[in-house]
Amino acid sequence: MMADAAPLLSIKEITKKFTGITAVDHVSFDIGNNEIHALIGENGAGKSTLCKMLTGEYNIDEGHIEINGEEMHFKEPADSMKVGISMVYQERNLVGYMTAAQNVFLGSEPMKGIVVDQKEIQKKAEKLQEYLGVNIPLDVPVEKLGAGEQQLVEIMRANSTTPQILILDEPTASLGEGEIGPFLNFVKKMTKDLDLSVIYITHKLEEIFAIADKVTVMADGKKTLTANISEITQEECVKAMIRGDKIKTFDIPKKDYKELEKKKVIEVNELTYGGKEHDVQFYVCKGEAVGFYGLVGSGRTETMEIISGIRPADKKEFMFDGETVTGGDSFKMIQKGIILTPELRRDGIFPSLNLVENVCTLFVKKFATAIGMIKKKEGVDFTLEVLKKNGTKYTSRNQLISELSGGNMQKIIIGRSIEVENLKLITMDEPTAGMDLGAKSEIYLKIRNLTDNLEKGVIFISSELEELLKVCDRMYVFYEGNIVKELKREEFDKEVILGYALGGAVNG
Amino acid sequence: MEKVKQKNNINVSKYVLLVFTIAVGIVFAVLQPTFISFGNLTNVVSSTVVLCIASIGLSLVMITGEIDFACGSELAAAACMSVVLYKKGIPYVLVLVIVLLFCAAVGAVNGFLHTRIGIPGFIATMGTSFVLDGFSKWFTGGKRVTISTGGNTFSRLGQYRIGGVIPISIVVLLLVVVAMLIYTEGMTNGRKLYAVGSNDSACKYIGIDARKEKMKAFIISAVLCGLAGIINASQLNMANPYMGETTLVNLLTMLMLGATFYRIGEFNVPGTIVGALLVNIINNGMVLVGAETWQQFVLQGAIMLGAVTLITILRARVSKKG
Repeated sequence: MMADAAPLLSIKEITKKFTGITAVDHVSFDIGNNEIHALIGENGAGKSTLCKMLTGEYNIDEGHIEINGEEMHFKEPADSMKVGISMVYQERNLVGYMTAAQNVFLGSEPMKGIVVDQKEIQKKAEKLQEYLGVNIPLDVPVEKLGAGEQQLVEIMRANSTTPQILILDEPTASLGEGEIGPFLNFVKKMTKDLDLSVIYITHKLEEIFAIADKVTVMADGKKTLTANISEITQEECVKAMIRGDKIKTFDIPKKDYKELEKKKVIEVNELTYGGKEHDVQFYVCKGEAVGFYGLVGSGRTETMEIISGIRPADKKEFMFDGETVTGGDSFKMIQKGIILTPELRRDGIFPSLNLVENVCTLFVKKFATAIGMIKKKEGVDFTLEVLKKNGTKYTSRNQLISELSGGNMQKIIIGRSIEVENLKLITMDEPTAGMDLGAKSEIYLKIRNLTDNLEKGVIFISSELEELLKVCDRMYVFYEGNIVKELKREEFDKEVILGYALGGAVNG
Repeated sequence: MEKVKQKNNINVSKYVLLVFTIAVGIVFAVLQPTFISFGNLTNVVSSTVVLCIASIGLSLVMITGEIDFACGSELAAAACMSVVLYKKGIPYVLVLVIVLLFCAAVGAVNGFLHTRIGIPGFIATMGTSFVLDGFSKWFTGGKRVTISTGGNTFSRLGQYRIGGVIPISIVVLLLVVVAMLIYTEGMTNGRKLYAVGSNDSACKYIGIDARKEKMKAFIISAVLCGLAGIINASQLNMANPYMGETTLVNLLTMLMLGATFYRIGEFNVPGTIVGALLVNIINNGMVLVGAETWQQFVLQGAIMLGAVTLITILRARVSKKG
């Protein structure tokens, strides 16, 4: 990179303390001109907090930052924007019914007298597109765009102020497998073409090695490593991120499929929803983890939400535990022993309720007398047991669930679901989304425990093929609402699976 | 560490409203010793009865995240109906049954419009409130209707004192309070109710039918508002179609205050009860110390704003953690 001149951005011993804990602890590193600098670490390692200090969203408690050798003190994000720092947050901040162009210039619309100059917006947006080298429809509401295109709209917006430094917070978290590659190429090209520097926050090591020039690893608020990407291996990165003992390993026992098939929990042929018949032939046996793979929107979630009584269907009929099921809401399905943990974590929690209430709402009948009086003591004891069994970190059972970290929320969501009486089939929809490696491995272990020791059927829906390959006994590939391929564990092949997921039945 | 601190903050502030209410009571007692005379205290409570019962009803709907805009109209319609039906010579007990059933039906219509048709609760109940106001004007002829003969069964509910001391209306209030506290804090119904309010879309994943819970809330709200109206008519020996006009605003003050209590930042029944008590202590106390009407308004407004400010700050603190 650039020689001795002061680096573009220099982070000097910055520290952020929240009441009691130190979120970022004397971290220093430099960002050079025109470099993609990856920032990795587990959840809660302090990456986002660090970046929020760079944008001025948080005050810096100790230390400071320098831009081109000049000390900076930001009071709010507008200050950092002035000197060329712009951030794309992990959560989408788009107004769904507005067009891409309108979203990009939201809040800084060019005016014509007292009205917004729509023509000018369109023109400026087109210019920006050309400048960035992207091509997305500017005149349709952004809610009609795909996740990848929406991400590009966010990036366009961040670039509308022509920053020198662009911070991308987990930009691929919501993208499907097929969208990630092109997106990474785009980031690389943009960085080069615009002479930008990018701070790229992520969990995914492959991405770092695909695009970054340098990497900084954080763990527990401290910097553990900064290195040129060419001088480091994946293993070294992982070691810097976590203590080795936090990743749990497991073996998958060999299965006798003939024997297994005698114990089918569920068998489905087709479902009709959205006015269309969908060919979703699959079955799950006792003690089997079955993966559902497919692109975002390929019908994995829809299928299982219909089976679990959450989503209405035009017509459904399937065999479950020896009986034909044609209807029933989620309450009835849970009683039968089918439950689903939602794709979005926020759909699984009651933010303004405490931990006991969050666990016990699933068991309103169980911890109540015949006339509906709550048995408080039993509910509390049960909750404490669930929390303990699942290794949840919390300070008080009376604290609100929204005070917990995402990983701990997920532990509660899954933990309470597997306690459902006479549970036979549990569907986990993207249970590891946004989790770090240690927490992910705990989920994998939990799934294998459910199948191998407790004889439950598990459906594991995920957009990360690697984890399905690692955990599942069998896999179904979805394409445009239908199941297009079934594979047994010994037939698992990444390329074949991706082929079906991207191209449907073309191959077969 | 950080979380421990946060939690303690919230736990302490959980009961601030009750402490404040007691403190206000003490201040009035010092300023004007008659405030704590038994006679005045029963006055404070019995003047609370109508709005307190209605506010508990409204709380249920507000807990689910909706609003019953029609609560004032339900109150007025019930009051008018009770007078008109009683004047027709129908026994009072039967009048009670008819009016409360009518209110339950109104609540069911509100619930149906919102949960089954999908109209936002605010708009659905606004619609029914106009219809109800129309009804009230129709069977009262648009003016106030009175019960002339004193000492009749009609005025018992609102005015009779058991043993000449304890008003029946306070007994009714206590029954409603106890019943609704058990319902919301001690029963599965309440657990589901708060769950619906906390996250509507999470309910379906754990087998709670949010629509059913909202339906129940709308029905109970309408019935309790109706009961409040009946008691009000009985207290006044009269009713008119306009008596519910300011009800909603008054109830909202109590609910907002209540949301600073027990479940911070959320509407809840225990909080509403304390809130209702506080509003009435202030109103009554201000009268006793000889304050002028404008001063009452200023103080009530200031307290309401203070409460909302507090909720907003507390909510922001909670959501920051999320």
